[in-house]
Formats: sequence, C-alpha cells, structure tokens
Amino acid sequence: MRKRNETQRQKLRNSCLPSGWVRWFCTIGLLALGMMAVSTLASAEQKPESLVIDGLGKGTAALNGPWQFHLGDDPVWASPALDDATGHSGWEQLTADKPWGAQGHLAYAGYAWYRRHVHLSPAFGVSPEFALLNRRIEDVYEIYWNGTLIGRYGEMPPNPSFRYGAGAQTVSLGQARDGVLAIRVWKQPLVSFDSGEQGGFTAPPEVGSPEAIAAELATSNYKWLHARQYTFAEAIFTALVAILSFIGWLRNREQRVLLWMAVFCGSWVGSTVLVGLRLPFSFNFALGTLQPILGLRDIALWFLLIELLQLKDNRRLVRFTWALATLTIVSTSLDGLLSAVTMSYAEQIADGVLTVIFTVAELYAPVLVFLGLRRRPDHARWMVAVFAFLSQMIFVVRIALSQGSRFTHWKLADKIDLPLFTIDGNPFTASTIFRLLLLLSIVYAVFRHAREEFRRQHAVEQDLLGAQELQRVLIPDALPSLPGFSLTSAYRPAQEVGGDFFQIIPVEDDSLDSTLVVLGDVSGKGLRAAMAVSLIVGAARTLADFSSQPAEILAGLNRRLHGRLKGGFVTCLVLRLDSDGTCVVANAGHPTPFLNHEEIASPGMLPLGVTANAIYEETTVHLEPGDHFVLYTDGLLEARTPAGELFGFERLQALFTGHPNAEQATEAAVNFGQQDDITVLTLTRLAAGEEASTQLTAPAA
Amino acid sequence: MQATTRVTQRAATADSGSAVTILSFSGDISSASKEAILAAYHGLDGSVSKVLLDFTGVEYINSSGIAIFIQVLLESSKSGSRTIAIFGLSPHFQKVFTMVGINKYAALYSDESAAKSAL
Repeated sequence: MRKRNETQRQKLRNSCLPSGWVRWFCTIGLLALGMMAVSTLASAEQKPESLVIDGLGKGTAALNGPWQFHLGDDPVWASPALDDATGHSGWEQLTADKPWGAQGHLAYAGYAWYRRHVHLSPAFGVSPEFALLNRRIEDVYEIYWNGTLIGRYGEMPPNPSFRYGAGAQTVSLGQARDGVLAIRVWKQPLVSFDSGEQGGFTAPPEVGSPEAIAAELATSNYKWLHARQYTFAEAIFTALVAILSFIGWLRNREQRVLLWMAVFCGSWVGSTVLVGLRLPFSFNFALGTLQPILGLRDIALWFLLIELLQLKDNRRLVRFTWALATLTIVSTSLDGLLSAVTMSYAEQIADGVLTVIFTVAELYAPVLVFLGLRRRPDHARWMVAVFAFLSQMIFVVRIALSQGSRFTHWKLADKIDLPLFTIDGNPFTASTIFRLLLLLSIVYAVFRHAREEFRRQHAVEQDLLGAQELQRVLIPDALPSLPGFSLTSAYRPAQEVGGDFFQIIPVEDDSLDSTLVVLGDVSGKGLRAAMAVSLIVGAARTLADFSSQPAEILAGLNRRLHGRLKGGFVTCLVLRLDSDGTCVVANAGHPTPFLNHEEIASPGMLPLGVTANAIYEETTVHLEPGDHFVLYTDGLLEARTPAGELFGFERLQALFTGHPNAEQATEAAVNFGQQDDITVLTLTRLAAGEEASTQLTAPAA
Repeated sequence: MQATTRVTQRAATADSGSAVTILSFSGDISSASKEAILAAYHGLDGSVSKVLLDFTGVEYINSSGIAIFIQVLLESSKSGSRTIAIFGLSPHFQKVFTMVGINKYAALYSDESAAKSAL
C-alpha cells in the first residue's frame, strides 16, 4: 500500500515539475480543498456548546437544552477530555425534558450516558458552592463531575436495586465552575405494561446553591404531598373500614361479607402503602408484591359481589369463583416473582402470558354483576353492581390497552389516566372517582347487609332461647316416687337445642301402683324439635289416660306424629313399671335399655312418625331386688372424641356394669365428648322394706 | 367433624349375574347430607332394580342421617320394584340400623362380596 502511494506521489511530482508557479498554484489549491474538507467534517461533528450560568443567585437554573447522549456504557465517557461532539463515535443530542424512549430510542433498556459542558459562577455574596437536583432519572444513575464520581442513586447491575417512585435527589457539586457533568444511567428491562417511552431523564436537572437546591427539594416534596391529600385521606378511610370490618368479622365469623370487605379494603391500603407513599421499598419488591395484592383485591370484590348480590346459594358459581381465585393468586404471585428478577426475553413473554390470564379474570366481576342484577337487588346492591361494573371495566380497559403498548402504540390507557378535574391540586381521574363510589356503595350495602343479618340472627337466637325454655319446661323438674324403686335421672342438653324428652306418668286407678315411663329423642334440633317434643309429651299424657299398655301408647303416638315430622322421626321407649318388679317395654327404634350390664331382648322397630299404621311389640322383664335398669338416649351412646371415636356399645356395657346413677353415666359421656343431648334414667329395684328414692339432675336454669 | 358427605355411583354385577348399582357414601352423614343422598338415589335410572348402599367410607351417622335412609328405604318399599341392600357398616352402626328396624327393609351385609353373593 505504501509503495503504491509513493509511486502516485512520484507521478504527481513529475507532472508538476515543469514550472514553479504552477507548483505554488497546486499547493494553494490543495490547501483550499483541505480546508473545505475540514469545514465539512466540522459541520458533521458539531462540538457541544457549554451551558453558561453566570451570577446564579438565590434561585436555581434548569440544565435544559441539548445534552450529549450515547447508548451503551464506557467508563471513559465520564472524562472531561472526551470528544463527545455530536456525530462523533455515536454521540448524539437529546433534551432532558423527556425520556430517551420518547426521543427516538423507543423501548431501549440498558446503559446510556448523558453529558453536559457547564460553566457556573455564583452571584456576588452568594455561596460559592453548587448543588444539583435530579427530579427523576430512570432507573439507576451515577453522576460524574469532570470525571470524578460525586453521587449516585440505586445500585447498578449485576444486582440492580432502586426504589419504587422515588422522589428527587440532590448531589453536591462543591465549588464547581467549568467542566463536564456526565450521568451514567441504567434502565431496567421493560415490563408488559411499559409503553417503551421511558428511560433516563424525565425532567432537566437543576443547579443552584446548596440552600436554593434544598429549598427547591422541600418545595418539590411539599407539592408532591399536597397533590396527594386525597390519596392519603382515601387510604386512611379505607384502612379504617378494613379494621372495623375485620373486628366485626372476628366478633361474628358467620358474617363472611365483613371478612371480604376487610380483605378488599386492606388490599387497597396495602397497594397504596407499597407504591403510593414513597416508602423505601425496592422497585422489584413493590411491583412483585403489588401483583398478588391486586389479585387479592379482585378476589375480595368477587366474593363481596356474591354475598351482596345474593349469589351465594349458587354453589356451582361459588365453586367456580374459588377455582378462579386460586388461578388468580397463583398467576399474580408468579408474575410478582418474575418482577423480582431482571427479566430475560423469555421471562418477559411469561410475564405477558400471566398478565393476560389475570387481566381476563378481571372481567369476572362484570359477569357477577350481570348475574346479580337478575336477582332484582335493592337500591344499595344496585349501586354496588353499577359502580363495580364501571370501576372494573375502566380498570380492565386501562390494563388491557397498556399491555404491549410499546408494540401497539395505543395511547388511550394514558388518556384514561388523565385527571378529569383537580381539587386543590389533587387530580381526580375516572378510575379514582369510580373507585371511591364503589367503596362508598360497598360500605353502605355491607352496613345494610350486616344489619339485616344481625336482625335475622337475633331472631334465630330468640327462637333458640324459646326452644331451650320450652324443652326445660317439658323435662320434669321433680320426680314422683316410684314404689319399690330407686330412680335417678339426668338430662344434659348440648349447645344446640336437641329433642330428648322423658316423662314419668303414674297410672291412675291401678292396683299395682304402676308407673309409665316415656323416653325418646326427636331427630333434628332447634325449635322444630322442641315443638315436636311438646306435641309428643301432650299426646303421651293424653294417651296414658286411656291405656297403660306401652305398645298401644306407642301406636297412638305414631298415628299422631305421622306426616308431621317433615322427613324426621322420633325414637321412643314406653315402659310400664309395676311395683312387683314387672316391666313391660315397647320400643320404636330407640336404643335398647340395659338390665344390669346386658341389653334386654327387644325387637328392632321403625321409629315413630315414619309409617302410618305401625304395630309395636311388647317385651316383659321382671326386675329382682338389686337389678339395675337403664334407659338412655343416643347422646350417651354416640358421644365422640374430637378425633371422631365413638363411645359405643362396649364402653356403655362396661359403664353399666358398675351400676352408675344417671348423673355418673352422663358425666362419663360428657367427659368422653358430648355431641348431642344426653338423657339417662336408672331404676334400681329395691328389696322389701327399702324406701323408694328419687334423684334428679337437671341443667341449671 | 361434620365432613361433607360424598356420594359416588358405580355399576357392578351380583354373583347371580344381575346388574347392581352401588352408591358409595363417605364422610359423616347428618341432616346436611340429605340433598346429596336423595339426589344420588333419585338420579338412579328407573330400570335399576338392585341397589347396594356402601357405607365403608362412613365414619358417623346421626339420627337425622338415619332418617334419610329410612325415607329412601320406605320409598323403595312402596314402589316394590327395587331391592336395596346395605354393606360396609361398622358393627356399631349395624346394631343401630337393626334397632331402628332398617333391616326389615334392607338386608345388612358386612362387605361388598357378601352383598353381591346374596343378591
């Protein structure tokens, strides 16, 4: 290559040699050409102008105008001696008032550098020191003054970290005068809802004396606080509602609507705390936690709608809602975990797919609203339905449009976020307004709902109290003396009102001093069981006026009960006890009595009230002195431990071997694990000359 | 302890060669089980003539639960076109079922093979 040039130069020399003035002419011509070339080059590589700020007093000056900008990363770019002329080695000019994504570098994420040549001089009598205020630079940055690192925000890769929604930062420039301000920036990879118009400066930095910059920072923070008065007030109100609802639910766990209300409001407050208060949460933590919290808010809204719009009885719908809730929690949690890492391309796709899943799930609330409106709700529920629909639809449209907006370039989502009006500097967007209306309508509807539930529950409790009272009246509070027998009885009601009953009815005009004992159990609980007991006791006493035959009395009871128990039944035992020890027993499906430690032979028969014309059999046993005869209800037999183990026949047999009195037998079952009413009656045949006795254990009134 | 009652249905063949439908219950049986049990029983095809009620998976039946089966057995008894038998009851509940006279409407067997060989 060199040889060829030498030859060319030689040729040129030879051609120019003939005359001296021609040689001069050629030389001048070449110089002119050279100057033209240099001039052309200078116009392509424009030297950046220095920003001159002279006599800066108590105010601040924005470092606006063109900044030298370069994508990528090179530590040399911090150097003041670097040639950063526009067009040279990839340097270009951007302004600092908007991100690089909006200035030709759409969707760029990674490193980039900004540089600015600055000349500063303070006004007379003002501090010779300078400071810099950076409003927001996305996402992490380092600031160099003449090649020296003077400040930074966040952590650069490989372990990037920065706060969510951080405010302005200040950096001291010292007694800076002439030099180059270089800012190294790193923007993290975009998430699915990023428009791509992000990265780097969002507003020009400002320079001023440290006092002026501190004042500017305070003003900036005050403006931020001032513009969020409404947000804070809403968060406090919502937190209060969440706490009260949760306390209300703790007091009454049946009121699920209060629990969902607490979750709905709590999740909203949680999201405000995470991303709205400038608390020192890292961006990835805030975004990662926000996803499941918003998912939880959606789920709470669904169940609130199900409760308030009276869709709870649709079991299939409730099951589907639980399934969708699980899917939402899983997908939002996974999406949240993805946010916690710096996403690769594949992870960004996974982020998009997960986001689509829970964005589609957002449409479920409007579906519930549609189903609920078909139930003709009252005005409070109507309002909830309407505002839930509007609020959710705005949210869905906003989220759906913002997803992938860097590919679609749709701007409607941004327009939805524009304030419709401001009050004292507080912006109100359509989302803000509908969210508030939804919250207020839910609070109102839940209040009404809780009040209705309270009234209903109060009525039920009154019914139960009435039933308990009725049952106490129907269980004897004193026992008549049975000639020739020692009698003990115990009645231990369970928490709910059950259907145990027993009556002891002396037989009139009877030479054998006979007594009828009626003992039984109505299936079911509550007022209905108590009313059946009332009917049975009345009927048994009436029947006893006309017959002392246990089988006839049972048949009479059966006829009166048939068709009145609505699918239930009554097990019942009637026995006639003669003073000579003869005992005639008729049994309608009731646990067989024990004589000492053996059950008497009693045929199994259907309970009362099941078939219209049942005929009952009688069994006669003769009780000798010392014999111990026990009647009981299934609450004794089927006492259960918390693990589900039954008391059972074997334990019963062992228990009765010891001839316990009624209270002792009852206590044994209660200690084992009472589930139902327990009634026990023991009859011990006395020897001649022994005095009859009774012992009754009744529940405290 | 008030576990939800689950009812599953399956087809089987008795030792005699006739088709049998088995309704298997699991969980506790109480008044809350009524809907599931009656829905399963009423959902049986009208042509089903032999039904086995399988209580192998049942831990506890209270008196309201027994009332449900009495209702089913009386219905079947009235129609006269269906034979019902029971297996898988614990000895405790075999005794309880006998006390309430259920054995007059449905034979009680200890297990499935005993029930299938008897049908």
